[in-house]
Amino acid sequence: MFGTLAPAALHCGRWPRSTVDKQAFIQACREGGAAIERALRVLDASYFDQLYREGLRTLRDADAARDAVQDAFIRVWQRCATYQGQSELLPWIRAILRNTMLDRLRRAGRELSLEDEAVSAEAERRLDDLAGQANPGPQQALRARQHADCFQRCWERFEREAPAHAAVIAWIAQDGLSNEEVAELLGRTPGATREYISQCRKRARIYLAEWYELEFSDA
Amino acid sequence: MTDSSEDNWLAGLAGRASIDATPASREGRLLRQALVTQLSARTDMGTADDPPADREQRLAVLLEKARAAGLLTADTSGSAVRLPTGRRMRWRAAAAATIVALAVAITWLVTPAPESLPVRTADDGIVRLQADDPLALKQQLLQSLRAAGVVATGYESFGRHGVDAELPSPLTADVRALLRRYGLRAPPDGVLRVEIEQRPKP
Repeated sequence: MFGTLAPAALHCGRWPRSTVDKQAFIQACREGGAAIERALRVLDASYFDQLYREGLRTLRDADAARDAVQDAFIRVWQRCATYQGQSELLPWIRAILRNTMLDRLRRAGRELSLEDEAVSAEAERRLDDLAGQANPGPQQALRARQHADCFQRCWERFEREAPAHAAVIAWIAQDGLSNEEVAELLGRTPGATREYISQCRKRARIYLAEWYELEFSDA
Repeated sequence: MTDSSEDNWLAGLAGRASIDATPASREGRLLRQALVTQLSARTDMGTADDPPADREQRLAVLLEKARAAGLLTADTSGSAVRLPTGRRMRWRAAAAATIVALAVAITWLVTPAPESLPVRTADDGIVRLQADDPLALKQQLLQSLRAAGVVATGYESFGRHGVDAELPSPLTADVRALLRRYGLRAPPDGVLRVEIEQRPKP
């Protein structure tokens, strides 16, 4: 009834090897089965490297990054019926990858409450004062290396201990996300997202306190 | 910290603030600068320059995951694979249907009925349930979803328990039954997001 499929056929059809066409993607979603297999190969050939780099930046582990990208490719097809071609494919897939990574980070993170971390109201006030001081002078350039090392140390600890919050902050900085865009990424209301971002800021202040102190004291 | 302070911080972090308009935007801007520098340095780590052999192996793993997720209805990998004939397919379909029916029946028998759940669905597509014991309900829901073959993740965030799950499309009979059992509607985008909060005491 179905005959046989030669391996070469898997690379033929409407999917050129390195181009991902929106209409072909939608059509493969409708057809399912072998069409999805062909499409998965094209997605992998076209987007894996780029998405893997993003995964590696966030997860800091090659195996975890590869798994996250592959899990995202699977989710792409589980959600493909919702894709209407209104946006480009890559940003849509990247949002799915980020969502996949957030799930992983939530599972990996200790999810401590801020109360557990003994937030110091005095330290909060201190940062507010420092942030209000004048812009840094030329001395900052001379100490840039010291600051960068300090930031790296603090940030890596932040990523280890509050990975989901650190990832969201990094994505906001990288892509200039608005509150609404973060809400879409998290699958939460804009109000709940505002609260989440506030928690991100509080945690950043805790983990980056040493760096903030250096940065703001150079005024 | 006020909403306005948070907004300014977010604007600074996202690179949308006018230069250091407020202390909060300055705090966000400095963090953005440090982060962008740090993240670009990391980009060099991810060359993804896999040799062809590794790429093939990676593809094999990906296709296996796709099969496990039920995306590929027939095994078309490898060289010249013969697909099932009509009769063999009917047998396989009948056997699969029997196994699914048995699995659903067993799940129904061993899973205790959930307590009565007030459900409300917000505009954001998150279903919010209330329970006397949110943790227990989360675990029960996770168990039921996984028994129905759904990949589901549980989490706790800011004291609220939640479950995210990717439902199959189209919904299988056992997933439809599960949704009915918990009084949940099928999400239009196929992604079930549930948050469970403590039921207020009378």
